[in-house]
Amino acid sequence: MLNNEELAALDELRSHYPDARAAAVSVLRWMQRRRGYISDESLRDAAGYLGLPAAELEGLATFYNLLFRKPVGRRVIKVCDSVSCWMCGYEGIRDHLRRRLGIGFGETTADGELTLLPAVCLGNCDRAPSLMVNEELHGGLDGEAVDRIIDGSAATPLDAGGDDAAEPDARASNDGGDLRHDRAPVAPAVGGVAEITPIITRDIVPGRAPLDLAGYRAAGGYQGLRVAIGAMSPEQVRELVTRSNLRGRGGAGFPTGVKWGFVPQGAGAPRPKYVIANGDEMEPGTFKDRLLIHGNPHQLVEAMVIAGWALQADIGYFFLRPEYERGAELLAAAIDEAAAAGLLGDDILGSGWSFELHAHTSAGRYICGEETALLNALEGKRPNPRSRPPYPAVAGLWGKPTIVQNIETLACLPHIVVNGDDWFRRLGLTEDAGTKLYCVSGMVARPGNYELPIGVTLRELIFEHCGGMRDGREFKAALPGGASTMFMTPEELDTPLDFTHLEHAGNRLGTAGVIVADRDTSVVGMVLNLMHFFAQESCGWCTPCREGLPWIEDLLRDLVEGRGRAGDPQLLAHEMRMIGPNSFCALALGAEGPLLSALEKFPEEFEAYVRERHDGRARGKQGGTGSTAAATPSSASSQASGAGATAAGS
Amino acid sequence: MPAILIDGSEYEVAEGRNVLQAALDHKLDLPYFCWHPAMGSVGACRLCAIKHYRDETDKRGRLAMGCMTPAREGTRVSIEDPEAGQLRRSVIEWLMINHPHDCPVCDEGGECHLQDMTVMTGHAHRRYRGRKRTYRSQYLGPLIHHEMNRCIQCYRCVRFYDDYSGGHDLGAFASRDRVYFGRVEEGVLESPFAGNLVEVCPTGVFTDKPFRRHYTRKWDLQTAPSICGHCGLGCNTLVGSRYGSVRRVTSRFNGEVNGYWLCDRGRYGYDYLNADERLRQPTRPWGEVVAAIARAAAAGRLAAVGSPRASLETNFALRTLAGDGRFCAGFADRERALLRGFVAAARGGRFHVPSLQEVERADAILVLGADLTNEAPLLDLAVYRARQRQNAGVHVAALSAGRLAEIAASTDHLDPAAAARLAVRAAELVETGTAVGDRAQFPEANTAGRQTERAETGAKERAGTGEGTGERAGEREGEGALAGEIAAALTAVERPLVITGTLHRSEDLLDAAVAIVEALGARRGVPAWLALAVPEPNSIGLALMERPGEMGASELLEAIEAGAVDTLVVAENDLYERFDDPERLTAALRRLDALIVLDHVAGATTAIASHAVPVAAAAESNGTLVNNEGRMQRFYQVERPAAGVAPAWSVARDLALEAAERGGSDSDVAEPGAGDAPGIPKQGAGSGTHGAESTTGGPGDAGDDRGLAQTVGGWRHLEDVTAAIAVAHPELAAATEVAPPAGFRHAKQPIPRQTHRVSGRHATNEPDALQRPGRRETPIDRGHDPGDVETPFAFTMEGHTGPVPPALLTRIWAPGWNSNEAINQFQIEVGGPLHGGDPGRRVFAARADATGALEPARREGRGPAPDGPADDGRLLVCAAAEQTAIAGERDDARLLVCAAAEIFASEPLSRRAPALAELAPPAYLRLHPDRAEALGLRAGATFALQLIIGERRRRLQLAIETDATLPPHVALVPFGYPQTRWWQRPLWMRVETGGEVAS
Repeated sequence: MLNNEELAALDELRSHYPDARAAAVSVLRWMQRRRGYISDESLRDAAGYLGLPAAELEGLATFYNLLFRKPVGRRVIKVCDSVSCWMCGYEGIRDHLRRRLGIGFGETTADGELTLLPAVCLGNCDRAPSLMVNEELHGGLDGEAVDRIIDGSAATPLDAGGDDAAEPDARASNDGGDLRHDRAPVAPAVGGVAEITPIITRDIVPGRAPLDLAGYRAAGGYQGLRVAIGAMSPEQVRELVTRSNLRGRGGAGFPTGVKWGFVPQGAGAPRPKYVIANGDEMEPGTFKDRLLIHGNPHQLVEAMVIAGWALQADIGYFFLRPEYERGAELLAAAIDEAAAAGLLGDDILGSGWSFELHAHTSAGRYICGEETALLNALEGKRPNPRSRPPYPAVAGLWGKPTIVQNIETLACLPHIVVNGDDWFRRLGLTEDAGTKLYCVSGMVARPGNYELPIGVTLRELIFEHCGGMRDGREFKAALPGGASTMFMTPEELDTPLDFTHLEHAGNRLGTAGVIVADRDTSVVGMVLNLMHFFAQESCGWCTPCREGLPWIEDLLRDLVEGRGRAGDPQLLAHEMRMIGPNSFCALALGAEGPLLSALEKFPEEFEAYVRERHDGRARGKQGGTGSTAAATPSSASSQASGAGATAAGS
Repeated sequence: MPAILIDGSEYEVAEGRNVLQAALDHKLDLPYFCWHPAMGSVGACRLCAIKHYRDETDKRGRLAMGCMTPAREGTRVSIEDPEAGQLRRSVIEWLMINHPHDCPVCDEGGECHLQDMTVMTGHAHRRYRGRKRTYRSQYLGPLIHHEMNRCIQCYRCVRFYDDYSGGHDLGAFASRDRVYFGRVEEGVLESPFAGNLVEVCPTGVFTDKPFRRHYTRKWDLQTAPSICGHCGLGCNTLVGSRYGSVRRVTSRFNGEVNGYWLCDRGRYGYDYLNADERLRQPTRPWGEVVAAIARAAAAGRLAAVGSPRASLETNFALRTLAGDGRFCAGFADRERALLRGFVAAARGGRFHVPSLQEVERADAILVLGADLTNEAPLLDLAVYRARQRQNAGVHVAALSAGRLAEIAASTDHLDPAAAARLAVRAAELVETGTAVGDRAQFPEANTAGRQTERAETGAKERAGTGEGTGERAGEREGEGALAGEIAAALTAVERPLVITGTLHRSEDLLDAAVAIVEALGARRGVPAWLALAVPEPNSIGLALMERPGEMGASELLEAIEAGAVDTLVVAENDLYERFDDPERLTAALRRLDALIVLDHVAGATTAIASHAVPVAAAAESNGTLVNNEGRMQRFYQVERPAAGVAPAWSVARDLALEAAERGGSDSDVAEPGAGDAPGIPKQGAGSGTHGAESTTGGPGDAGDDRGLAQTVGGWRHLEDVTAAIAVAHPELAAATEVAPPAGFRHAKQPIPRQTHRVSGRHATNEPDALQRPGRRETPIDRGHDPGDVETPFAFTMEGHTGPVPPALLTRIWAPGWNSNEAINQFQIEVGGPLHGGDPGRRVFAARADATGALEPARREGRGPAPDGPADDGRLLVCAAAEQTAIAGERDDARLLVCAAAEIFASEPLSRRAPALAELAPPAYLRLHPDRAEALGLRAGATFALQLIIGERRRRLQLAIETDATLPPHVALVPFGYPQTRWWQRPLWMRVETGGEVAS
């Protein structure tokens, strides 16, 4: 039963949502925070409070990764098992934790203190391996650092403004978040291009709390909003964005202005219209939105108001993954400040136009980043994707016109409005426009976020900006844009990392989360890790993705663990080709990129796993606790790395 | 009609179809799982893959899902494309990764959609070599068995259970390859439509639990089309039996009536046939029965009682046996008046009586004094669908709203009189309003926020205002506003519908409902819709057959008491359900020389009968029924009755025949004075049914026994009786056309009741089902199965296997389609009417689309005089009688005890089915908590109570339930329980408690 105090708190929570269903996830998260986990009783309480069937809430509670229906320890350790962390020693951390605590994943220590869980990419890939303890993020771990965390003697966790003692080169960090770019994010003169100052990370300074309203204004913030609302019509803003050639930074690269053009305008348009900032960043190898959210929330508030004005929307939502709880708080504070200053709310700047903004924190599921699944998630339904048509721009949230835009895309808007489309287009090194946040992780010397003109080559990025490969290792392969893009080999080092060139090369820029593998990293192991991710994050709606991806994972695990059979690589390719394009949404299509490109570009490595089993030899070295985590047959690595040698020294 | 190209051939398809539908419309095999004709496309299973070509120059095409691809003019697709075929095979292969392949022990085996699709796609070899996922299954109650390991995650179950039919307690849980469909906690599924999960599930996750206990493969079942007998909606069913017992009931598609669905009462109620309370042996020799009848007929002291649960033919034969003026239809008095009123009004064309499918298209609905969930569940579903499809505003004015409370725009818990008054007030407002659909015309409706307020203040406030039960309509602000709201809602739409029922046996409710639809019709110039939920499968049919001068229940009782009747034949009726004074009834029945009861179940009446004669149950016989919308439908025998047991109509015929022979020979002299009882004509005295109006009767010598003998002597088969009905009742003439005649043959072959199957085991174990070697003349040679001369069917798997007329569908089977999805192959367009038209013939003309102003048809001199609350004199209908009765007797010491319906307990046959009996709540007294407290009744406890009505006392044990939404002056008692069988109408009662009963 809920007591009066609890009811009051829930009422406050509920007031942020238009209906009970939409509030459901927040209510469940609240229940969990207060009571440790969602017991049967809590589920019934929540159902009773919201007036929804318990079965419906159970459908949510059992869907999201971070809603617990079983008791958990006072501290929950979520160990990132995604690809960058895996490459940098996840398995060592995992095994250490298991030994130290005497429990496996999904279990709780006998004293009820600690629960161990695997976690999908924590967006901390440049400080891999990393883990979260409750809502505290830790990165750059080794066994000793893990012990200190368990013992409670670790330095202040990242999100709280400190850093881990274990971090080898003690990079800067700030109160607002774990700023991972190790220098001021300046794009240095590279390849003869004029030096530019950073744009969307301009006001993000390592080690400093994010700007408040006054500070942001002093730095020139909210000028874009004033220009847009004060001097431009919504149509003019839309045209400006179209001319700027801004393309969506969430992965698909769809031209923003074109998408906006689908939204019905005019007096007859359905209302309310919505703008949603997609901050559900969970693509392995991607941690750019975390930087923007934690580093400069006002920039995003301003951007949302500009987008809202351009689309004549009424309501905006930030949709954030639960690991960015601190970011949600910062955004909420920025929203309050902006509202108090009249930059949000009714009749903004005397325009007669009103816009409200809310921050919603999800409960953890990669699929929620898919825009139609996100809509269902926000409505409080099970976040299965929706079929298109109708497109969200026409019928989205609650059936009304809705634009879902990635955080980084939004961050560009104020600057485009202030500086013009021509300026923005010319920022790019290629025909693509603007700067791009490249998040580099894996086996490079200086992983981190780099805001650079869009179109730098992979070589420049790794060997100029990131200081080359870690410890002078040999470059083997890279995924240019997160888990769902295709492997690039040493031959492709000079490909500009932009939408156009990568599409040309049959690849995708994706999120520009560049994951770099060295010679000792097993591509098969990497792919297994990625397929585990995709199978795990399938929502379970359509057959190919739900049933097919676990099979793919199974086949790869057989290979890696020595049970592979002749023909398995061919079977993998065949199944992946059936699964990817024939699934309901693009999740499984994302899985196709790394697997098929690996099969195509590193066939010997797959065959080596098959062969070694037939040879009856050892399975190859286990990726232990060090930085080369993968199980790679020795023969495979020697065969596979051939062409990469020349890349290392440049 | 757009034309599309499938594999190079052109097909015309209806507007708005998708490629999957189009393919199935043309009987092309395109596999699918998640799509369902009633529930539409969601694109989850990915099985209906096709190749879609942009235009004629596109040679490569791209894979797409048939269900998600609109079939527009010029759409080019390929089903046979190898890639599409490969993808479909792959989808099955993926699903088989975790499917347990337990077909040999699975109840779905042999009629499994997954099996069919696996074969259809050609998947045969599994390459997955890992472990299979396993789940823990749940206990879901006595009706549904759960086996989650078989699940292929098509999401059909939750889409039907929650989205389509409004359930809440079945959910989709977890994600990825661990999606689970079940309840939060184990327990009985709450929806009364849960049984449909068995049919929507494409494999064996949800199976029929009672069926499991006496399991039979589909191909071993004898199956015949039937009509559900557990309420009056006439849902079409298929009844399956084997080795002398009925094993299961499934839905039989009828696009006009039940569509694909059945309620759980209809699906599981059949098991009464296998329960102990069957009547299987005659209590006296046949000769004695004949003698008793012959004697009484000769003496003019014979009477007969028919039954609304028996066929037209049984009732007609019985009436013929007794003679017109000596036949009592077997309704309770008030029930009869109500049904007569409805039939008269419907005949008069004063409204349109919608089919269930039409109800789904209504766009504003008023439910008046009925609890559809518990009285006529599929009507509840139709209203729910109207809410979903048409966004219909649903207003409920009834003591219990059932499930509809959740979707209703307004729910008012009113006693029958208050509900009637509300409706009368709404009718007045419809009549006086001047602009259609203009809410401003109904100032009372414009109380903004009233709805919310009402919802929030809830029962308490209304309970408070309930004090004014006796007051006139409109005097209470809330009620006036509500009447305005209802009037506005009904006036604003194209297809307004009023639904009422027979629960309270209140003519006033019907009158009020008629008043509204008439006012709406007058205003629109097109008849509005009125539906009546009736309790028994032939309630309307029997009312339609009624003749002037027929006896009512009370008149019958008086005749017995007066000695004018000394021998009574009762067919398929328990008189104790029709009289409110069981002591008086017993005394009267004891006066009889002979009480002859023809029935298939034992009950209170058979217990007191002097001669109980077992007759065939519906599943063991054939006949014609008329459902609540006046649709005549035929049910067919699927099981042979026990040796010596015959259908009631033929027993009545034999009695008439033999009694006439015997009576003619030894007694020409009626006892003087026997016919003097008021209103009881002498047996065979001119007004008899038989004779002039009989097709088969002899020439004009009506009135004597030889005439009777000749008439019924001509009734060799059921069809002969049906033909006689058609002559006697021109209105029912189409009864002969609702299905092809018994002699219907296709290429000289009858229609087998079993699916054909070639197997040695079958040949050995099922000799009846095959031609016997060495026999000269087989049933097929003769064109007749020796055991079945009444139908076009044979008790065999052999015979005509091709298309049959829709009323004769026994086997929902087509090559490649063993599951019930095979029904697609029998529909003109999938989801649409059956080839040959949905079976059944309507008695009441379809008036949905009639145009032209209605004549100001008014009451036909029936019911209470127009001296009620119609203060302006324009409204002729009033709710006077009930209101006066209820208000007049009102005092604070007493409770107005009204009936509640219970879906699994109030219908006397289905409540004997063990699985349903398990779900029936104990008999209860439900009242407002304040009243309970005042009476010292503790909720949840069982009390020994006396209900005191005037001089009469009824002692019973009832569980106490409290419900704050009830008006404080009302208490509810569920009807149909043995201890509440006497209940006939709302009555003021004093409640005395004899203390709590230890449980």
